[in-house]
Amino acid sequence: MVVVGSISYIGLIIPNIVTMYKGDRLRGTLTDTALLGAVYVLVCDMIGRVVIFPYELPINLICGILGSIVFVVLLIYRLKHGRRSVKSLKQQKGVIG
Amino acid sequence: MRTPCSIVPDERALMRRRPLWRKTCVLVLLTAAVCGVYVLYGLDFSRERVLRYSLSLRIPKLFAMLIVAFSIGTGSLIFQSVIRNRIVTPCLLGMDALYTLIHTMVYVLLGPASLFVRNTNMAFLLDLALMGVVATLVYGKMFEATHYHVFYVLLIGTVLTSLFGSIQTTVIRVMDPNEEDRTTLMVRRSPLSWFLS
Repeated sequence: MVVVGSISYIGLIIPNIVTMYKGDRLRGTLTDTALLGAVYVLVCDMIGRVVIFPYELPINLICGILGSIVFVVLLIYRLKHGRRSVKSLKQQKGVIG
Repeated sequence: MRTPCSIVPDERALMRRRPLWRKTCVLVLLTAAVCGVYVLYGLDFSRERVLRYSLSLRIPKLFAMLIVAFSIGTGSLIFQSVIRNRIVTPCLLGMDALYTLIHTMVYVLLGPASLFVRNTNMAFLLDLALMGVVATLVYGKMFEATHYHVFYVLLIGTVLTSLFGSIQTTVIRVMDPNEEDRTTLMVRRSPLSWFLS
C-alpha cells in the first residue's frame, strides 16, 4: 500500500545548497535546483527501501530526518560564516564569463 | 515635547488606585471555588465508603490538574517573555517530541518485559531523569551554537520537533513494520505528555 504524505524540508534545503555553490541567481540555479531535488528524493527513497529490506519506510520519515539535520547544519553554518557562505557576485561573473 | 518617561507617573498612579493584589485575591478565591465544586459536585454524603471512593478518584486528579496548569502557565509565560511574543508555546521547542522519542527509545532498548516499562512509576522516573539530561545537553548545545540568538533557537526548535517525531516513527516502524499503533498509543497515554503538549 502506498501512503502519500507531505515531504518536508526539500524546498528549504535544496535551493539553499544550490545557492551556496552557484550564487544567488535564479536563472542559473533553476535547473540545478530541480536536478538536486530529484537526486535527493531518490536517495531518500532508496534508503527507505533498504533499511528494513522486505518492508519499506515512508519517504517522508527519511526526508524528515535527513532534511532537518541538513537544515540545522546549514543554519548554523550560515550563522557562523555570514555572507561568505553564499558565492559572491564577482565569483559568479567569473564562472559565467 | 512628550517623552516616554512622562507616561510612567500616570501608570504608577493608576496602579496605586487599583492595587493588583486584589485581582490576585479574586483569582485565588475563584480557583478555590472551582476546585471545591469539582471535588464536591454530586457526592453522596450519606454513605461513607462511596464518599471515600469518589474522593480518592477526584483529589489526585485535581492535584494533577493544578500542577499541570501551574507548570504550563509558568512555562509559557517565561518562554513568551524571553521570545517577546505572545503566541508562542513551549511545545515549539520540540520538548514534547523529545519526550515521546525518549519514551519510545526506552521501550525499544529495554524491551517490554523490563521493570522500567511495566511499572508506570519507574517508567515515569526514568523518563524524567533522561529527559532532564538529554534536554539540558541538546538545548544547551543549541544555545551555544546559535550564540544565544533566541529566534534561531526557536527556528531550530521547530526543526527539531519534526526531526524527533520522524526518528520516533521510524524506530517504531523498524521495530514492528506491521503494527505500530500499540506503542504510539502507549506513548500518548503516559503522564508526562500532559505537561508538555
